[in-house]
Amino acid sequence: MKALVYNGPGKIAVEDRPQPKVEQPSDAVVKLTRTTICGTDLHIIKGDVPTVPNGRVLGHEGVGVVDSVGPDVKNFKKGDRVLIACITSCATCTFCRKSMLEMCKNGGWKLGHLIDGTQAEYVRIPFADNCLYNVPKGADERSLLVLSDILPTGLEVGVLRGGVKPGCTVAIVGAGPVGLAALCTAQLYSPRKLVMFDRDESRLEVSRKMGATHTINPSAGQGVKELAKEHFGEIDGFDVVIEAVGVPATFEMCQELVGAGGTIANIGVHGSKVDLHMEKLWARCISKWACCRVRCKL
Amino acid sequence: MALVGTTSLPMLLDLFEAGKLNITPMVTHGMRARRSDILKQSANKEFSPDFKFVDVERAYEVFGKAAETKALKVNIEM
Repeated sequence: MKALVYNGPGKIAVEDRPQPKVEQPSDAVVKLTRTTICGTDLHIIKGDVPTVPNGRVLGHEGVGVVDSVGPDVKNFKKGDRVLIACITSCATCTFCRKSMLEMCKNGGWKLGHLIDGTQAEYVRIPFADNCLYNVPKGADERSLLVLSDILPTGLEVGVLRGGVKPGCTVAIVGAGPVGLAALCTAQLYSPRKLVMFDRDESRLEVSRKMGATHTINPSAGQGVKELAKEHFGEIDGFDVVIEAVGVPATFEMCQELVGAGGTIANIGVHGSKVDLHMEKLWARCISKWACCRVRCKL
Repeated sequence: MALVGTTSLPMLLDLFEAGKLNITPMVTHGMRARRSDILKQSANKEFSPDFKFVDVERAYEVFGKAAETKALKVNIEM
């Protein structure tokens, strides 16, 4: 089969690889129909994720058709159309039983990282009963792909950890795919303001199509506080600020935008250290820190 | 530290099926509904309606140069 293989920093190639087979009784092999690329894949190619060995098939998102299943797989059979979850979880370890699937002792982020991933014609999915989902009938599989990773990420790490509530104000810094996923899912909780920040006008335009109430381009010269002031209100900032870029400048921006008693939820994958301005934030009762999605698992 | 857990997936699939998730604008490369838009903008030939898997390296280039190509989520068909 053809697969996209990582061959060390800066090197990827489509190669012929043996087709994966069921190895464990709970495995399924899925024939991919669609896959996509994540910012994390770019991090891997840059060499930022040293746990990915040379020769690894990349990709942790995909939609496909079940090709074969191990004897323990109960919920899926050959021919089923499935969505693949980016996180592998066994459903039985201590963490899984606390609904912390990302910390699964037998799983976690494995696809396209510790085992071969979805940018290939076939992929082996461990614990298939827990990691595959039936594709809803008639679903547009092109857009369904965003449910493998970025939509749950925007919701779970940004919106839920940030504590978005009806009537609150939300700032999202970064209108890339994950920022937009947070924008999409934040609306499930009816915030009264949903303000997107990005330097790219075309991304701001997409944000408006997806339900942003306001958009701000911070490259306009003024400070971000000045640009966003009209949205601040009594708490002098936003209730929830979601960081979806992962560089020091945007993390700084979030600290300027968070209101008294507010929350910063960080989704961005940071490649370098960032400053936390406790000298400014302590008196503002930034009560909750929704810490990080760390995709590049430590 | 926390990764995404995907515990919200069953709920998100229900919402998707019910048409309650407005996600199509972020799939910039490969959306059937947006093909005409994409083709209109394709003067620089960076846009293609669908990537085939043989073009996956090209898909990486387009995704990697998002500021130029306006790529958000790309769609690679097997």
